[in-house]
Amino acid sequence: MTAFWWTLRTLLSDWRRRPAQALMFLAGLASATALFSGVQALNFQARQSYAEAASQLGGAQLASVRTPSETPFDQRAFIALRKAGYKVSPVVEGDILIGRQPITVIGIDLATLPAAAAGDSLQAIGGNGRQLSANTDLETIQPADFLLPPGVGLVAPETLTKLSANEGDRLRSSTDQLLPPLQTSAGITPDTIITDIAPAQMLLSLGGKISRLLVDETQATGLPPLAKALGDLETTALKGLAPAGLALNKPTNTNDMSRLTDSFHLNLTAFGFLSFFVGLLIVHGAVGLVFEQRRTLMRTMRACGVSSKSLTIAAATELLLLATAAGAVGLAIGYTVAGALLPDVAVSLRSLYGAKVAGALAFRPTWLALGLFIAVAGAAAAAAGSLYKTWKLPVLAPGKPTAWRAAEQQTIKRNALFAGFFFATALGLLLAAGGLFAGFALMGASLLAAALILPAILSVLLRLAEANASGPIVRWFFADGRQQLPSISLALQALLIALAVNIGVGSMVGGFRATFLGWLDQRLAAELYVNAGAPGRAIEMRALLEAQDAVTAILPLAFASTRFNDLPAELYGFTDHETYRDSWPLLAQNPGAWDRVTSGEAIFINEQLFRGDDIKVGERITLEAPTGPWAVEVAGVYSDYGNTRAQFMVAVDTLKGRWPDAQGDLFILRVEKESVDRVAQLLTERFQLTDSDLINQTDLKALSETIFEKTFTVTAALNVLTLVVAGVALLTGLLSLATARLPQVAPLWACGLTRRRLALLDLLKTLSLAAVTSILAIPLGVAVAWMLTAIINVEAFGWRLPLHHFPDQWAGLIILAVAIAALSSAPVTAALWRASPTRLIKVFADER
Amino acid sequence: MTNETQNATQSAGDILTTIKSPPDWTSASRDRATESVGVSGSGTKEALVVRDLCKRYETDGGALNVLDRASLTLAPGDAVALTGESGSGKSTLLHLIAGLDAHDAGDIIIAGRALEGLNDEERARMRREEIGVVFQQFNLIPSLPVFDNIAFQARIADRFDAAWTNTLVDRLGLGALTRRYPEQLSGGQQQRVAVARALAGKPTLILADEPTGNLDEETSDSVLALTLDLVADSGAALLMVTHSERLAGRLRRRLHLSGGKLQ
Repeated sequence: MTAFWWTLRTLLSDWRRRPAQALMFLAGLASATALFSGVQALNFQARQSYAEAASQLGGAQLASVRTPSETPFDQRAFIALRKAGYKVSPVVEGDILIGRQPITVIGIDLATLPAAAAGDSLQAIGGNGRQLSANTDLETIQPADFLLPPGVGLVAPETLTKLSANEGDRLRSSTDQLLPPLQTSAGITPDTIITDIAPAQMLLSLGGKISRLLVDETQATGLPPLAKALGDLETTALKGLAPAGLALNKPTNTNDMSRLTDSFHLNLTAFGFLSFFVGLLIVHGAVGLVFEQRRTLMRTMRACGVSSKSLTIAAATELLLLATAAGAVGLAIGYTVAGALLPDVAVSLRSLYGAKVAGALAFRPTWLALGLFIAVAGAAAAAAGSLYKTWKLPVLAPGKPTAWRAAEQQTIKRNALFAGFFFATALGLLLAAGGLFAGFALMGASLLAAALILPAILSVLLRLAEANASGPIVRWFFADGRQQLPSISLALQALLIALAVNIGVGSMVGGFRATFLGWLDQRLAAELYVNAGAPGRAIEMRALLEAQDAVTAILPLAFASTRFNDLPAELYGFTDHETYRDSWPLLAQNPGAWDRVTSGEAIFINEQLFRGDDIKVGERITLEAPTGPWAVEVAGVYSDYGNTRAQFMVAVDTLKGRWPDAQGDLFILRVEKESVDRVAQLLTERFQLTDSDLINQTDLKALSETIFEKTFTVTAALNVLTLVVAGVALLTGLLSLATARLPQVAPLWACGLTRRRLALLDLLKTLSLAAVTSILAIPLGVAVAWMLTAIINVEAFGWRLPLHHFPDQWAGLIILAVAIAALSSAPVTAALWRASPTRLIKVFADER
Repeated sequence: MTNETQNATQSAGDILTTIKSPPDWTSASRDRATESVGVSGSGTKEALVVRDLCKRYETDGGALNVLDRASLTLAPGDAVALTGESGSGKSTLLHLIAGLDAHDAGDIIIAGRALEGLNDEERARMRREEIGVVFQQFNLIPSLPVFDNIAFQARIADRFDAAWTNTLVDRLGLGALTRRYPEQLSGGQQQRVAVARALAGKPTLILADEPTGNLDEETSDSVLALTLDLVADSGAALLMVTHSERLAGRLRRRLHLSGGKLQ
């Protein structure tokens, strides 16, 4: 133990002499851990929100009774089933707008709410007949307060903050409905209000209707199974209450939101891993450099009687201590980064998937443990080679740096061979594998291969330049560059990867922006989009619109929900018009597709189904309609950027025929340009339409563009952070080199070159290497862009975008990389410039 | 440098007095040896016995016998100079004895214990407990101050004796330098620290590989004088590789390595 302690102490004391490497190690591992753990914190938070949403009102435990398309039905069905002896409880659910904030309103019946649905919050106010318990913040709420007007609206604390409201405030919805007084309660899903069923029905304009019936886990003995009873009662007690029929839905442990958002989270995780990998390159470089510089020290320790086993264990312990410290710093940074990015992620998830994610980050011990584990495991992986070399270190091997460089030349050759292996792996994945994971593996293998081959390419270029150089200084310039290469190759590799990913992601986002905006212009050809809100109003509205000369077309639109391949899907019924035929870009179609769809013989599917579910044009698919299964041919595919769900377009009459409960009070209006505002004002005044009921083309485009920008906010932020990490790698790599440079430049100083000239030559060398690396990053970046748009995006979101190139962006990145290199070189250049003659003379006295 | 030499020479006299009655650490070391090898005719254990040692390297030009049945014996208190031309195998012999390299044939017995068959862990233990090595390049630990450098080997051998270490510090004239780092010392000072480190663990055998090769004549004389005095009075054996006939002449015995054989 004594030997181990003193060995460990001696190794730790060595870092005092190498502050640059210590900084490199700690900064590398801390930034790697920060980016990885930050992404994990976002994923944890999102998944917890999904789980909370799924388990709200016992969703994960309780069965429910719903219509097949999940549309509201008559609340008398509740009474009928209760009379038949079944313990069911009504729930009404829907969305309203408060200001511009969408909020989900859930109405419950406290008296019949099953215990499993109540949870702590609702049990506290007497859910399922329980008495008010002295529980948390709800002890001031009495059951009577909840049930009697004005009632109580339970919200998560962050929802209250988001609505800029205080406890007890009564807000108004965008339809001017007065909400119950708001009261905060833990455990409520964000952006959700839970209240009694009566005010909820009023807020949602669903008087006498309910969305579903929760089924208690324990039912009276002797009753026939509920599923059977629903069928039996369909023609008697339930007749006419739910035209599409009622079905018993079993609870499910895996909620739809988790499955829908898997791709999004995998995307985030992949970028987290990428950043982590770049960070590990720095750690690997720092540990490798320290190992080489410590050879003499370790040899001395071995000669003094420290066994290789003790030395290796001490080095591993040292690594563990440093990794834990760096990991802790990284976790703190990661938590801060995640907290800053979470609001944008929440907006992305809501706009893309309708998922509600808490806007505040919760702290979890599992996240902390995972973060520390990944920091230590990453450090161990990055240092494994050096630890192995420590174990096998021959005591008598020369500890001179020249031997290291010779060994590094061997390493360059070996890495080139590994690069070949990873290129072959990437090729194999490209040709043979499919799926999102394979897509990321392909990108990883390609980046790794390129990074591994980089030093060999630079070495060859320098050798060629040296061979063709004229003049001794120029020859030395290139020869010295080759000698310096092994020391900064890891930093250059990190820079290559960071730049390539930046170019790739930049091209993808830029290309997406160009494509998306063009597509929006086509897709949003109509001038106004109106929701009449009720069938009766729709008839009245249509009559008014038909009397307006400026309205050139009134195109009714219907909407229904269904499930396809066990996931939620949307159906839109459209009215045949040139607005669609001329403007809707079809990616693939059969001859006469529009005619066949408008006649009800076929349907269109969106790109997500075409690519994600591999449904081909001409193929027949079966949709579960309330009126029975509908086998129908796919006539065409339309692009649907921004949507992640499966979607079908059918003729409006066909939809209403097969989905009798479809929402049919929507209109798309073609209006003469100069009369758009007048018509909009007329409708608003006559029917008291809200912002969400009447949307004009300009607003819809702006909203879509905002959603698009938010979608890539996180990706872009991670991208920039990766570039910062590469900059840190370069800086620390050069700082590590700073002292080692003196013996290499001192002979030239002695031969008559000034320190200023030597310093500038050194700077020029670093900038040249960074510039060449940046240029090499362009083809790699284009390859990354292709992989992102042609493979990963298709797998993750279901969209395939045309590949765009942005040479001005590349030029900007090259300038940025050179600027980073200049900034990183500045301290080293300054140190060399200002190096005192005494220090340089000491090189020759061998007394350094 | 002249002052240093004077200080060191003056210290040497004090050391002699101190070493007259050193702690009985050589016998303690010997007690740990269990094998009945390396015992002299009088029954005392030899500090070092090398018997028929062979070491061969494969080169492009064929096999090179660096050591060919080389033998030597060092009794406690012996001080032997090992001379030979460059490349004759002097350093190789020292490395083999220190257990840093493996021999092809023959026996190496230190304080009654054979190196043969010891694994890396056991060799390391033998090295830290029985052997002190002084290198030409000093090989101090740059990140540790002088005192910790001196105490390093004694500490890892669990034999640290503060009083003894302080005595070495004082006698070697390092008292004012204990908080300094190696890079802040002159070559002569660094080598005195290296000698102190080799002695602090109270080893049976001191191996010195050209210990004064990097020092000027005056400094090397003073460092050698201190080393010899300490070795002579402590009862440890010294095997010192040197190129210098002058320095070799100051040791009691001299062995010459040539053609792989010791003469």
